[in-house]
Amino acid sequence: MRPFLAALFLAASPALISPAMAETPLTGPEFDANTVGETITYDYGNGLFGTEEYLEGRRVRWAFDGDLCIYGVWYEQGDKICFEYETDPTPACWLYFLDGGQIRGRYMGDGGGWEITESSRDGGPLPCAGPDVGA
Amino acid sequence: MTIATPSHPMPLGAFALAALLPLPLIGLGVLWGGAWLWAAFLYMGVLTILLDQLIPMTAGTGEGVEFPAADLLLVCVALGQLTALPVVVWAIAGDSGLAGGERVLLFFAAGFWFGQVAHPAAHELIHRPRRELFRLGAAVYVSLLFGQHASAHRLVHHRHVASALDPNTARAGEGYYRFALRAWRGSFVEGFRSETARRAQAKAQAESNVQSPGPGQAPGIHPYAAYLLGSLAALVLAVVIAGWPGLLVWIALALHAQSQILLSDYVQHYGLIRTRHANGRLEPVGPSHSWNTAHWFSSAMMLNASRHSDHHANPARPFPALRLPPVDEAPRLPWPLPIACAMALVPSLWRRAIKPHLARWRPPGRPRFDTGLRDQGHQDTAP
Repeated sequence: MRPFLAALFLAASPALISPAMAETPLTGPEFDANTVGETITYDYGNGLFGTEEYLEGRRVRWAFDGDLCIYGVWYEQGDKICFEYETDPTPACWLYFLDGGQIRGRYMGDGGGWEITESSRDGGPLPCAGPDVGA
Repeated sequence: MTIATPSHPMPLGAFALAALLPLPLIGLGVLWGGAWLWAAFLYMGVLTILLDQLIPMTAGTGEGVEFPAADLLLVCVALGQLTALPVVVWAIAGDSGLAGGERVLLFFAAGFWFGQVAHPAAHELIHRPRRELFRLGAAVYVSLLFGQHASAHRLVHHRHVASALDPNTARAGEGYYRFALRAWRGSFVEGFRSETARRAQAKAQAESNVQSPGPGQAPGIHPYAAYLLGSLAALVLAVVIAGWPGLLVWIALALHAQSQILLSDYVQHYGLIRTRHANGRLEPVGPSHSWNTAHWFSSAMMLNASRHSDHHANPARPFPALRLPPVDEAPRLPWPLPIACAMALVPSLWRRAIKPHLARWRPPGRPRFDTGLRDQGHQDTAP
């Protein structure tokens, strides 16, 4: 009886069967709406990945652990969101998901498939070392 | 881009000479003091660095060669450490006739040898499947009041390295002193948990074997009980040798060695993290999850502890056979391991120096900070 009930329960809520199968990536406007004006810090495998500030007009500022800030832009490409930075014009493409209000990204470039997860966010500007200080 | 690697493997005699030579210097220093103590101290503190820097070379590895004598060298170093420790404690704290300054020199010469040579040898021994060799390695750690390392290193560090579950992997930006406290406590606790879980498993297995005939192996004494009793015995010996000063000196030497063990853990995995895939699994441990160094003399003295990626890929591989991966496959420190450890004692210096090297091994998908950036013109696109 119990397995049957469990099966029924799972069948009724597809999202619980396998989040990986049921999830749909964020579209550009959805990603924008969930990030713009925020400064989000990401983890990968429980280590600091870095911090990104999302500006108006699909622009970003990126920094790893208080390093120099690097500006970039993002755009949609299919269901992916691709970033280009001033220091590295090769686009880096990701799928983004929303888990209970938190951003999760899956890298889709070479050797990709691994994920970053939002570990904290605030509305303040990104702390930057070097040239951008006081700018 | 790979550094050309000479085909000549480092002969075992070179490892033996580099690793064991300080021991007679320390012994003669205990007897006669003066120049011998200076020789031992300068060997550990200066000669290593000079030889690494003045004669740049990278030793190859003997492919498919057997190393029956390698274990003998490890046993010699371990027995040498177990003998030298009480002798040195007596010479520093007891009625040895050495002057105050000579006692300080002896403390550091011996302390560096315990941390830089005896520790790598004991580390090799605890990875050996033969029980006697493992126990000898564990005894070295017990004498340094650090027995838990024999458990935690294999059961926790090797399993969880480069992830948040390993207390001995330093996070990017984490200073050494904070790391040392976290790693000491974490490895003690997690090592204890792992050993206890293994015993419960072995016990359950032994009980399920009761019905069917055959030898069910019931676990013996808990390894942590052995570690603590052994350390207690070491401290009693210290008091017997040289009273309360002997106890203090033994503890100080042990802490000195422990700090070096933790320093090499800190440096060898600093900031390197495995990525986590969508199914929740961590990326397998690979060459990019350890820092390596190529410097030949300190590598020989430390029994190839500097070829750390290969050690994690093949923990059972004997030290003369460890390979140095090419620079584009595994992180490479530009400094000899002892220098890197010394730099890590000044957290701000270490953080600044390692940053550009760490940047190369950050995951892709976002720009990786590089020192070259600093000179590049910055386009101001601020609103």
